Amino acid sequence: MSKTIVELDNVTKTYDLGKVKVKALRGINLKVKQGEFLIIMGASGSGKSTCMNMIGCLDVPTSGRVLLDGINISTLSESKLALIRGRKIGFVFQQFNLIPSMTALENVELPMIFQGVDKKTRRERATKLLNQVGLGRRLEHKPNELSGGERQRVAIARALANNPSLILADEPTGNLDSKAGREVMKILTDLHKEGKTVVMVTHDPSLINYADRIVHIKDGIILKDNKRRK
Amino acid sequence: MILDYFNIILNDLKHKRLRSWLTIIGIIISIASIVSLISLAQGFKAGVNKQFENMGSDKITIAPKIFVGSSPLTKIDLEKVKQVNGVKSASGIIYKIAPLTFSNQRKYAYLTGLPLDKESKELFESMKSFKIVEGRDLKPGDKYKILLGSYAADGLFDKRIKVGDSVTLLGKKFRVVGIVGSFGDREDDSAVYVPVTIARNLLNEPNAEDLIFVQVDKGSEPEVVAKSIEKKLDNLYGVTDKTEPFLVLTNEDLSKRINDLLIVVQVIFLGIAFISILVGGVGITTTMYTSVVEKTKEIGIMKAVGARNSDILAIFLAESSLISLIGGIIGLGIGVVLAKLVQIISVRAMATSLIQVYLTWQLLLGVLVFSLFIGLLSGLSPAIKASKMTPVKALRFSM
Repeated sequence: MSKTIVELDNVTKTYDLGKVKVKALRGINLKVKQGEFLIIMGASGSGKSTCMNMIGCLDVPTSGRVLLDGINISTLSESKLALIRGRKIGFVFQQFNLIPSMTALENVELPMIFQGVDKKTRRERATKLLNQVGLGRRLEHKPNELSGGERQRVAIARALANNPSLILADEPTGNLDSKAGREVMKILTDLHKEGKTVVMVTHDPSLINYADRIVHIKDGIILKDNKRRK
Repeated sequence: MILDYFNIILNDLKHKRLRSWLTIIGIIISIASIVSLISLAQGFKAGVNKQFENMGSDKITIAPKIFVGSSPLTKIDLEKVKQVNGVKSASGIIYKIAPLTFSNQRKYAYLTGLPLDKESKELFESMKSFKIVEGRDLKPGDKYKILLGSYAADGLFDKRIKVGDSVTLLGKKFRVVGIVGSFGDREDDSAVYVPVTIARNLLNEPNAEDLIFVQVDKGSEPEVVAKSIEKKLDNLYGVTDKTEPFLVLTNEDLSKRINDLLIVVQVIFLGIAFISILVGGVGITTTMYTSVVEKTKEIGIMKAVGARNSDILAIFLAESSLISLIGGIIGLGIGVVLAKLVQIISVRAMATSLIQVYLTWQLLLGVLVFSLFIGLLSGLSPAIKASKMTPVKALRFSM
């Protein structure tokens, strides 16, 4: 039995939009084990992204607990959460979310800046990571000089910057053509093989083959939680 | 860490170059005006104080209240002053602006009529570093002989005037017998000196004294002696403190009066500068708010990859201070150049070197620290706004 990295314990999240209150999560119980490739499936508005924000410490629950490596993060300050995110979690977004004024190299260095890594180490590690995702010749390119697939690979390199144990990917192939999408999935699969825990949110059923566990979310609750044999 | 932030910011400033520069220009203008105004005011103050220092503190000056037209002071006053207790010696001069002609060029110089008796000479020599650098001094018995200030000899006319040359002053030919060394002050250096008797004749002022200088006895207080002189002259004229047409000033009085005036001028200057820096600061605040809104998504990204609130705060504060500091540095340069220009123009147009640029490292450093402070202050509220954004909301933001 492998270790639990993240545990969502009866988590609810209600967004207060003034007159209406939206219940995005209505009591989620989920344990993410170390070394898993977990896909959270659901239609848009199902609460899957909110669920991922909880796992990624980007947001705190309205009620319930979120435990990361056994620590209850629900009550931590935003600054403490930021530290945890920076060290333990790497994010890959559908929109890539690179900083447009920075080169590929600088984008990958960014998470290390906030962890106080010195410049030389940063540069070396960022170069290595970009080589690893096949962008060794694109170090000094700005995001708008890169294709969608290349941008997403920069984002993956950035997610790996502080060598986190958990990679969170929110529709990482959503804005890519199928070839670039396959390349990105290949990199994520490789990372999983190297021992990283990968949690991916998607609504694309064709991706389920990459995962060894699939969680279906609808209307803020977990419908199905299936292990897959590969 | 801070250096890393600066990298992030420099990138960003390059990205929106025009807007950054427009904001920076606001700061440049205010810092340039602060630097030029203060350096000139301080220079003026230093110049005035130096003149008083040269004169020594044991002197008293009696001058007409208004320096236009004929002086109300006369030879009779001078004699009365000499009788006052504590007065060692006293001497009067004639001092007028007069046309001076040399090699067909006509200029204006400060004509000074010097009494040539021994007592007066001693008094004047102790007041100013009055040195003959070429030729000889005026001596008793000299008539149409003239001494030229260093600038009057070399600078006022296209051609340099030498000892032995002839110049025409008020229609009379004078032979140059000596050149006086520079006092470091254009006004003084533009003076020409003739025997007082000759000056009186030419100006048709047989009795007037434009300025009376008094040497106080050793052991007498200049303040006390000045009061006695004033009382004596008041009695003579039958006037009171308020209606008297002259001023009796010790050097300390005089420098205090002028310094008080300069403080007022400086306060006004600083007030103007303060308003302009306020405008510049508001400019930074506006730019920073716009920047925070534009960069909402980037703030979200940075937070997602581990930036704490304090990191975001620091990044935005560093950006606003950098904008302000760049403005400060450039403004400093322009301010110095501007002040130098004012100095040069004032020398050329008004023949006064009292307006001198006076730069101290305290001023330079102070201005830079001040612009940094303005940057921090104007960036504070936008930076706080940026740091408090929640990552989820910030990431969802789109323009």
